[in-house]
Amino acid sequence: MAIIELRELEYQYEESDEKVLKGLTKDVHRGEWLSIIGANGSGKSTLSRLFNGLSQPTEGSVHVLGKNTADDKALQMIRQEVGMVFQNPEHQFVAPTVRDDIAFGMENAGVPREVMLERIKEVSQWVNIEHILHMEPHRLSGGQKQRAAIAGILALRPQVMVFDESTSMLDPNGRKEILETMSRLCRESGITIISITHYLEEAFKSDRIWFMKAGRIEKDITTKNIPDQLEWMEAEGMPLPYKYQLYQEVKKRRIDMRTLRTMVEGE
Amino acid sequence: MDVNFQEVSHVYMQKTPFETLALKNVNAYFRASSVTAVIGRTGSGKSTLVQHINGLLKPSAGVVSVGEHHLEAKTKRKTVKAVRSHVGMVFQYPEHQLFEETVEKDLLFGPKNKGMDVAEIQKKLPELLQQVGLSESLLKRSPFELSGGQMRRVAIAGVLATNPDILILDEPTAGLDPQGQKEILKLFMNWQRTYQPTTIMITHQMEEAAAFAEYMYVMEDAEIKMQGEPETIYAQRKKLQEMDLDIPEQVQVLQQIEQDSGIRFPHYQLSPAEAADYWRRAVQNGGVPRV
Amino acid sequence: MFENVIIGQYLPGRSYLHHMDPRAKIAAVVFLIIVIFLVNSWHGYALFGGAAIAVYFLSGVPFRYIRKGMFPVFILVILTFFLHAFFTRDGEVLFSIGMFSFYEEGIRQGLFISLRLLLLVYFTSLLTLTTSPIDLTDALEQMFSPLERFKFPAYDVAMMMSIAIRFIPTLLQETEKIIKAQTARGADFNKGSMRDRMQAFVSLLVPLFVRAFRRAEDLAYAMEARGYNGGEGRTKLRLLVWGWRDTLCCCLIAVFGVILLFLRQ
Repeated sequence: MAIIELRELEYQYEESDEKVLKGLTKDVHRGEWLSIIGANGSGKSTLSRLFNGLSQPTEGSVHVLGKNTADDKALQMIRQEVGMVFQNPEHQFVAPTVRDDIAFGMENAGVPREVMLERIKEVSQWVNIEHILHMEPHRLSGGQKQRAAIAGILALRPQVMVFDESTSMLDPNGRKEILETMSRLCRESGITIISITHYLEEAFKSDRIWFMKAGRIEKDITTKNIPDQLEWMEAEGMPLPYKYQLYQEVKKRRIDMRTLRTMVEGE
Repeated sequence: MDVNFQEVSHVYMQKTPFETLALKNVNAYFRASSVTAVIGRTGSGKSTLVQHINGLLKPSAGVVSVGEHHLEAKTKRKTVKAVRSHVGMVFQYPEHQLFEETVEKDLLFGPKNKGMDVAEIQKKLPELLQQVGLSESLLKRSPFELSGGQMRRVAIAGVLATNPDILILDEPTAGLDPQGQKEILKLFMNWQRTYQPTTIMITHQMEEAAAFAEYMYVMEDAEIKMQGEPETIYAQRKKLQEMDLDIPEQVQVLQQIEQDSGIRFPHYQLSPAEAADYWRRAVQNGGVPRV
Repeated sequence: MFENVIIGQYLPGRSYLHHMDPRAKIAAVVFLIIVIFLVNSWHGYALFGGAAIAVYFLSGVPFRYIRKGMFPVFILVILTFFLHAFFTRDGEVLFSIGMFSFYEEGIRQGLFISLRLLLLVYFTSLLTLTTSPIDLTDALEQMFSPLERFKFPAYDVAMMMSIAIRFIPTLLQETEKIIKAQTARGADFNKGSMRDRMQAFVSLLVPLFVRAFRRAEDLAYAMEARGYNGGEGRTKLRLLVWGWRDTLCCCLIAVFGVILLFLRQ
């Protein structure tokens, strides 16, 4: 079932003569983990801002839970249902401490204080930051800041969460933390995840991948089919993780390497 | 130029409640013209370590020798400046340091400050831009009109413009897409081959360290916990994991295959094609007990 | 480089003063500032000094922080003292040095004014040392909110202040980083000709501004995405709690004021 519907979606920046997004018609399904991957300038970050009406399409439409993002009256609801985690951890931490930052979205939504206190407790436990609730942002790691942002969104009980390259400024540990959290959000809490990334390894962990190129969705594959798509990805010049490259080389030589086969194709 | 750390300690915010020990009795040696990687998790002291090499930080105790100069707690600024003129440092997100009206002016900022022959360097700028993968037509453009990737390259060129004897790279590829990361790393490898500076690279990414460095230091909690050639370091996966570090994916995959099959690879820097060939030969020679 | 800067001079702690409601502390300091201008006797200053010492023990702030905070004011204090000592010519001549004569009233006035200044700075620095900037902002917002009726945007000002406070450490970190980067490129911020130093300064300011604009843009998106819409219909997590300490403090201060009035000459 579609939770977000893109129809004939086009986007063009005012100062530019070329469209960044060219006629996208696609659905995001409820409960899936969707990755959007593409080089810089492929339009993936622009697309991310259309999911919750931070930008409006030049042509076509975006519907979230059946409501058009161009409808001003629906916008408040849409922003609560579609949470967004941005790239730079430092630039989305608004409040003086973790606790205040988690509360920020709820304060905006007019959630009563007692409810806020309960939810802060709940979500901070869930993303495992209850021990740093009192801390100021300059004492936190990038991963901790991103988890605070996730907690703040989670407190608003969203159905969709968009991650706009949220791991790209983190160190390997921070990246691991956030990926694990994304996976749990999707598998345990049933939240639809849309993650925009330029790391193939990350995209391979999700359910479905849109490959974007020059404003179009070039390919839409489920990750179960990755082995069949490797050749195409290589031809496109995508930097595949080593095990996939090796898998391809081994296949070319018509030999069998069981360890590798399990790694790539699963059990 | 050699760099040598002897019993170096550094204390941040001395005599305040926030006092922290950022380096603890560090001994390290960086041989002239070699490439060394410094690995460790955020806050392990890597950046503190390298900032001692050009006197941005002074040791609270111990001596840092750079060539024939010695930097200590009480070293005079004249010595520090003399050392600095030999050292080029690419910071994390170096594009944040761009400020001039044109790319050309920004590139000349370093050479001018360090009292070099500006006219001579100016002549070489087109070549320099080419070396960092940019077109010379950018020289007269404003650095702020460029794309993020281009800005990073200009900033890097600004450091390379002084042709430093010691080149320090603090996570030079952070935040780039994988393609960009590869290109930037390659750029430094080419530079190293041509001009042979002593290169010290801080990185989170084991893959980068493996591809570039001949020697590695692993830091944790303000101390150097491991050192050696990359292969030696990777052999101690458990110890690395205790420090929240992991070996490169490539090494993981090859080690896993070795473990399952009993076949030994000669080393872990094999390209996928080489690894597949090696495997096939081993299988043909009957070296496979279990597949 | 900025290792010695203590943000907003706030020192976290668990003392009596730390636990007080910031509104009570602000009210108390304002009251003390007014009262101190009424004091004109030695008894009064002795009493004030006693109070200052008592409050010092209630604050739990190490003395060197107070000393450090007050040091810049000392120059001003000494200057004011001599101004008064030189130019007030009432009462008996106490002693003369060369052509300068020092009068009793001059010394007295000089001492009084100096003491006033010192006490004033002392109490305000204790306020900022024991109150986090955010609590201060919250308190000021509440204290000024009655003025909203007269179109004073207390809410927006408080939001701006709290964001500004939030980003001070970021700005300091960034400044330090850029100074280091330019220093590594040979810029000299401390020595060299005026021209060179100007150049170094520009190399710091331009990147800082560029970054600040970028950050503002990102922040605006982040706030909008989380439903920020201005003050209307907003609830607040932070609650200022007025406790027994605060009532006690206000009572004590009122009594203190009355006694000081009686001690006036």
